[in-house]
Amino acid sequence: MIQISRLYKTYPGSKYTPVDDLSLEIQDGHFFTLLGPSGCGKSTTLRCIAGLERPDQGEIKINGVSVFSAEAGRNLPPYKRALSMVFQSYAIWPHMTVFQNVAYPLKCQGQSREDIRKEVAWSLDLVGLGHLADRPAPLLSGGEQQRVALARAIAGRSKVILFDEPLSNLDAKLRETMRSEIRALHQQLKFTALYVTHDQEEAFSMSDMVAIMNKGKVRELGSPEELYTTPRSEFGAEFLGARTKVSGTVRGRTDDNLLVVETPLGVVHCRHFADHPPGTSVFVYVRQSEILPSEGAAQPGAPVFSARIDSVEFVGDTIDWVARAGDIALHGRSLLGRPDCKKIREHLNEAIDLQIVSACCVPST
Amino acid sequence: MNRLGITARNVFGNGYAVRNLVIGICAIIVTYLVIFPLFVLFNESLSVVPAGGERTYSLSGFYEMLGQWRTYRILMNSIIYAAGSSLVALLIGGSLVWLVQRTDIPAKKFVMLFALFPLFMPPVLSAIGWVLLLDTNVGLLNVVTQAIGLGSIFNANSMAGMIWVGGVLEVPLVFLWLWPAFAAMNPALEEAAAICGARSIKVIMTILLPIMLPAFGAVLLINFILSIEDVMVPIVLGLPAGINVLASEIYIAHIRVPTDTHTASVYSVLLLVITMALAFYYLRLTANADRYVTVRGRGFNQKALELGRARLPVFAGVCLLLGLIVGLPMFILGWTSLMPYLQVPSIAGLSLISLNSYRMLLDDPAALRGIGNTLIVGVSAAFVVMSLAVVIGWLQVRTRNWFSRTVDMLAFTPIAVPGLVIGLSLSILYLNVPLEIYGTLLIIWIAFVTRFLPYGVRLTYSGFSQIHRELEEAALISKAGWFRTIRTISLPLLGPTLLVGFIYTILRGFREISASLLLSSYGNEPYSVVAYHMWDGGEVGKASAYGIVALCCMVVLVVVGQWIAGRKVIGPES
Ligand SMILES: Nc1ncnc2c1ncn2[C@@H]1O[C@H](COP(=O)(O)OP(=O)(O)OP(=O)(O)O)[C@@H](O)[C@H]1O
Ligand SMILES: [Mg+2]
Repeated sequence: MIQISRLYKTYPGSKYTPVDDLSLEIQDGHFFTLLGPSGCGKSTTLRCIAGLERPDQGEIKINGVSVFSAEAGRNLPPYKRALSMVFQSYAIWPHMTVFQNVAYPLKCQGQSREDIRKEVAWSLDLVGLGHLADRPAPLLSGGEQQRVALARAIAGRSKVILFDEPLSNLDAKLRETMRSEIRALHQQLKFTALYVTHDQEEAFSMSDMVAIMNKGKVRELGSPEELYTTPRSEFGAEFLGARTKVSGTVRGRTDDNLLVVETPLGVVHCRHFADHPPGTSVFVYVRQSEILPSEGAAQPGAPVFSARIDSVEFVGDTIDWVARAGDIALHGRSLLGRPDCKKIREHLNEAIDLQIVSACCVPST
Repeated sequence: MNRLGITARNVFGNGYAVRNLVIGICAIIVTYLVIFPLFVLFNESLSVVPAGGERTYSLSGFYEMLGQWRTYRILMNSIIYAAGSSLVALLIGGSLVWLVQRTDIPAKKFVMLFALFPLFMPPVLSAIGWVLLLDTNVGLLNVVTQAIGLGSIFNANSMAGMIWVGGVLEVPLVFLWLWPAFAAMNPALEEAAAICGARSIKVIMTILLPIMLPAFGAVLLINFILSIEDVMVPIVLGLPAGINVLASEIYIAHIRVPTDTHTASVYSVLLLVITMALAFYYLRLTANADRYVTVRGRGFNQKALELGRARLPVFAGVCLLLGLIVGLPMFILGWTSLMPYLQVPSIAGLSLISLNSYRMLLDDPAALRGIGNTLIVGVSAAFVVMSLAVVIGWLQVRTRNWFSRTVDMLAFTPIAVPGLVIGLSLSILYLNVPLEIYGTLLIIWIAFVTRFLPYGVRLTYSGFSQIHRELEEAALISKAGWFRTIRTISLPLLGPTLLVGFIYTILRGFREISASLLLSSYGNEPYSVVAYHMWDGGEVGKASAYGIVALCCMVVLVVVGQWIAGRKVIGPES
């Protein structure tokens, strides 16, 4: 288990606080992901946990051992913390062979030659590189280097492995393969994984828990599905791709626990994370897939309104379109070849009836 | 906790004990090497000790110096000499680099090698070589002009002679410094101008010159510093003609009997103030270099300027120039070393060739001792310089805070301290402390370490900058301690850089004279000082032979080093 409480970190000579009052708890065996835009402090957080950076305030515990505590003035160096790490640059040592790279942490732990040989063979086999053990590291491809880095991280059988955007330097196809391989390794070896990425798809497909970070703070925390269906903040909703934003006021609650929100477009029934009493101002967020050309009459909580299609953009499998109702911009997306797609294209620069079929809301600040 | 994050526990007790201990020791050594001698120098320049009286402090030494016309004449001489020779060096070196880098002249490798070759010849011998060429009576060039009826037109012992020789000596350095600036210049700028219809000359004048101006300015400044602190040319060429500069003035005050340390220290402070101010300005200039598009970046598709019909004439001109500034001095030294007595080269002279001078060298214990001393001191100083440089370079690249900046600044300071001043300061310091260091090899060693440290740090700094920090961090995470990380990861990756620094330091040891000249006494003279004494004592043939021997030593050293490192030791970075 990794426990972080009230962590602060600033870099000398910079006013920005990349880690700002951050608290997290990561359960044993979980695959936990820190997700956030570039520069939000994900790497800094990870480096503080690893002991590569010294935080200013707060405490970090790994498996019950306090590795950093500002109060007690304790800051264990990386080599005294029970964890391993996969770096964004892979950090494969170019003056060593694949075998030597993977054996290095074992050697530092003082294992015997025979044990090292077995352990390295085991971990190289796990990542599918058994046949490359004697290859000098500079002769590896990017994907192979990535696997060596993985093998090195699992070779010590550490209970905690940190990943700093390990896939960001790979091409899209390899990235998908490696994603499932890392996931499989995690299932098999049951280590606690703390994974950092700015790629939402990567985060959602791999993780048990995701924390969305912004400007040094954790904004949202939950399982991927929870975060996706019921974001907690404007930042979370927008970061996860809800593009239409309408302000409204809570008027009540439905039987199946949706909030009744009155908006300029009509009354919408919204998923929500926290409960809001009637009268609260909220923002209603509608995903591109939740807004359709109307097929008939409005249903309760799914209003129909007239809008004008401003633009249609061909993306590939889908078309993205923007419509306007008064001063509200509505972003929609339709599957190519479907009837509603045809309808949207026909109505470019014309008025059309649209329907919001579902939505979520967050408190307005 | 205080704002800087420094507490006793933070510095000593968090598992980084070894690291902090090593860094602490290095910081103390550097502080000792740099601060102490300068402190002693200032102390000496400000103190007045009447015979048998108490030491009092006053500025009287400076008042006296500034109240004399002579001082201003010397200062003027220094400035004329330094400015003139830096211009000569920039003009020749700059054109050579430009021709090799940006045009299609043939045999570029050869031109480069030739231009850099004088680095293998200790400056004291190059200066002697030029005297043998330009002397009014026996100088080869004057003999030639006399033969064609022009009379003797050159004079080594004049300001013009000093400027020329001082400038030519710096050409290889200019070549090395300007190389990266030209290499990193984005050719798109030139091409854009050419596309706009500008002709080649115009491209050079309107695009190249303005863009390269900061680089030229920086090189000019460095040259100026090196020239104004140079003591070799002023005493070999200047003193016989009565042309005194600051550096020779310090030297004279030092060798006067009894030694006039006070005057020497006052002049040293003046010289130091000048070089420090220029070095400061130099740092400012290069720190802003980012503003200019020219610096940085590599891998541009370098398209050479086509010289067309001028190609061969230009090449012939380059060969002639290199023959004059590199070939002739080497040739005359070689010739002189083979002659039983001093005479100009001639066909008739060929029959006199003998190895007599070399035989005399073997019989001269001082000559052998000189080379031995330089090797002992050079190798051990190189080892210590590179060790200190590894720690300081690491500190500077990996931890950027006030402490690392201070240590780096200290380690960099000697670059702005003239060798003469270091020599003087060390001699004052160790004559006044009850340690038996003065007159031993140790004091030469201290001077070498101090003088060459900045270059070592520069090298390791760029070496560490090229080692991704994650490579070290991965080792730390792998449970290697700091020391083990440096030993098993950083040092192997730094390997070639370390070797380059090592060999470079030994080469500098052979070339060093300004500090050693003031520090050596019987028994501890390094190579250059012995060579100077031979010349001073009129043993010209022997001195020349000594030069050729040093040349061979250095070439062997570099070739072996190159072979081990598998890369260039001397030469511009590619
Ligand atoms: N050594 C440093 N000195 C000063 N500022 C730093 C340093 N390292 C990072 N920062 C700053 O801290 C902030 C957070 O950096 P961090 O590397 O944690 O971002 P990140 O979330 O990992 O972003 P990315 O996805 O781009 O890797 C950034 O604004 C960055 O500029
Ligand atoms: Mg990052």
